[in-house]
Amino acid sequence: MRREALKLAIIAVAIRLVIAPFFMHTWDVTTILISTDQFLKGINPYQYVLQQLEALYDATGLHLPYYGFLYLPHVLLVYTPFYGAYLALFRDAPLVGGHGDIYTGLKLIYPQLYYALLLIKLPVIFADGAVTYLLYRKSVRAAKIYAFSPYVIVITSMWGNFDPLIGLLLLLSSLTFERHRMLSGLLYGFSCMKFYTIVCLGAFLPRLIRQPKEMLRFLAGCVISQVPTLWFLARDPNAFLSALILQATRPINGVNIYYSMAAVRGLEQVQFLTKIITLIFVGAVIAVSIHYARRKVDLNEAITGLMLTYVVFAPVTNEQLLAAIIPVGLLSKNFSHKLTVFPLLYIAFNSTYHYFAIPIFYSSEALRATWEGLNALWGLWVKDYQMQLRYLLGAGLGFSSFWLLTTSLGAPRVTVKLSLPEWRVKR
Amino acid sequence: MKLKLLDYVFACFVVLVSLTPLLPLKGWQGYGPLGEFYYTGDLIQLRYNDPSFGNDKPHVFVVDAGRPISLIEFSDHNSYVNGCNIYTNFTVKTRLEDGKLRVLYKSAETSFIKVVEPGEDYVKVTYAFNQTMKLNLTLWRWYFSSVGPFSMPMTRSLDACRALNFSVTEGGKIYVAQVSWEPMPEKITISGVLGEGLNKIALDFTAKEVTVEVKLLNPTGLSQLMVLDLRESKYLYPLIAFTGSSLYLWMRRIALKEKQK
Repeated sequence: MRREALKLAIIAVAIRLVIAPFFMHTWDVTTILISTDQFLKGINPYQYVLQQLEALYDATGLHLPYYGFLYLPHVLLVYTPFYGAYLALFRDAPLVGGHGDIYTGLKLIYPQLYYALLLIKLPVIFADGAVTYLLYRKSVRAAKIYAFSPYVIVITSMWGNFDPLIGLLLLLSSLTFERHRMLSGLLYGFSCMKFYTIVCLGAFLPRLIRQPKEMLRFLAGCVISQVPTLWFLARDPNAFLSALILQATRPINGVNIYYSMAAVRGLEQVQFLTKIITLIFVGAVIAVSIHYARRKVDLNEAITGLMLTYVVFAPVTNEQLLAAIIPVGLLSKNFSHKLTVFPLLYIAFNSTYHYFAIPIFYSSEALRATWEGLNALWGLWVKDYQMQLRYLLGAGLGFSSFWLLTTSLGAPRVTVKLSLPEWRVKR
Repeated sequence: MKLKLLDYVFACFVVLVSLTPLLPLKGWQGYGPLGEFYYTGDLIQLRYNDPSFGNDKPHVFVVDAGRPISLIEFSDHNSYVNGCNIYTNFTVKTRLEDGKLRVLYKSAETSFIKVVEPGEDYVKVTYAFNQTMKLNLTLWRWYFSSVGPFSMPMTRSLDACRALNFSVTEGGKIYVAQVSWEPMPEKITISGVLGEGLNKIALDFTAKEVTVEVKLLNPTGLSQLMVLDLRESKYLYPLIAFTGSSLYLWMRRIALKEKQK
């Protein structure tokens, strides 16, 4: 079995490796490259975000968000060895101007870009291999779905984001919870590098409430995992906290039931609506956590349910989010991989798939002209309904996830009553 | 077996949220995440892009049945002051003051202010310099139906004039507007893309202050109500939400019946 699992994991890794060098989400990959580069040079990436925020305010007079490095610093530790390896091979950055106008300011350096994309995607590709291997030992079907999931492949190899790594950490935390509380806490703490897994506390903590020692072990693991966070916090609290606050107060966006609010053209109004939605979201997470705790729902089911609560109610749900849920979700009774249809289609009307293919199309003038033509044509086709289609897909994901969530909430308690048969009683 | 209250509450919540785009918000609204400035009026809408983009500075839309229809776009990307590109050679600061958007452009050699002032059915864009300058300004639309008496996409120099009528067509409807200027430009050129249409009006001025006004000429034909043409319409959100909610409740009921069997 171990051999079979390894074979499938290698196939999963191989598929992702083949695609990885030729695609990227320019903005997100730029964020990763800039922040890792700054970290290697001893520059604080949170300070850079703060500077960009101030520059935006200076330019517009508005408190606008800057979508730069808004994660916990563990992300830097994940990428540093791989980008460091790139810098050992090539001196210069593989791309310039990824946070500006891609039509006029984006400069890609070939063939360095291909190497850089391959190298920085390696940790997430290996994470996908690890998830496949771990799932295989629990469910061969789940492992196969994960290994060949078009959605996971798109997020890992085309997008270049690290949500599948969060999925691995959540899965590991859930698998180690019963036997190694501290390790489980440590892995869970690492998974919080993208803040959304914070909702899973409602799955972990209630089952430790009556075991103070176990609770302390779990929390100790969480605290140890946050040493890099504390270091950055101590180094420049202002910069770190402003990045944290910015992430926590991001205006409504993404594949969700709130996307219609993107059509509300007023920063203050959108921020006000975001506050209301945040309150509803927090209320939903608390209610679901209490419900699961009372019903003593299985840990894996509770994590999946709380992450689905995030998908349904959180003000910002990016297309990549499901990649963090799929590893635990595939082992849950109340999850369906079919949910991925919604973000996969949403990408076509938001980032667009040809945007991911920029590394291929920007490699020659002729191909670039083709890309620009394709981009204009796609824009022309979808322009009339683009936002409404995104909303339709967001609502689709919201309703489907809510269905799964309510199914998990209403799952009947299994009660086994033992009684003697009537004829035995009579005798 | 009956549907749970939770299902009904959620369906109603989704419909309620979908109504937010219909909030009667008017006037200038700074809006993230890209930092565009939006102006919403009864007849016209404006989008003024953030500093990292050179187009849509501003982009003028006509509002018809809740749907914004592109009318004309002022481009920094293809405009020049004394030969320096406005988009690439200047740093920019944008501020909303007294219902006007003031944009301060600065470079090592020169600085100037662009003021965008919207009205009921017009928008006035003023370029104010501290001395006489050469301004090469380009206005775009993909594509105009006609500019002046011309509709064929050929490059033409037009005779000096104070104003130029143009039209655009969307959803079978023709929207007519006028672009006028002060002072008189030294050169007016229109051009386009063969097989597609006219898409550019280039104006060359030498002045200390240049004002360009875009005015809608047929606002009476516009509808404030929802009509069959729902493209880009904000009315589509509640329509989608209501249909989605009904579908969800119907499917839930079927699923519960199946389960009961």
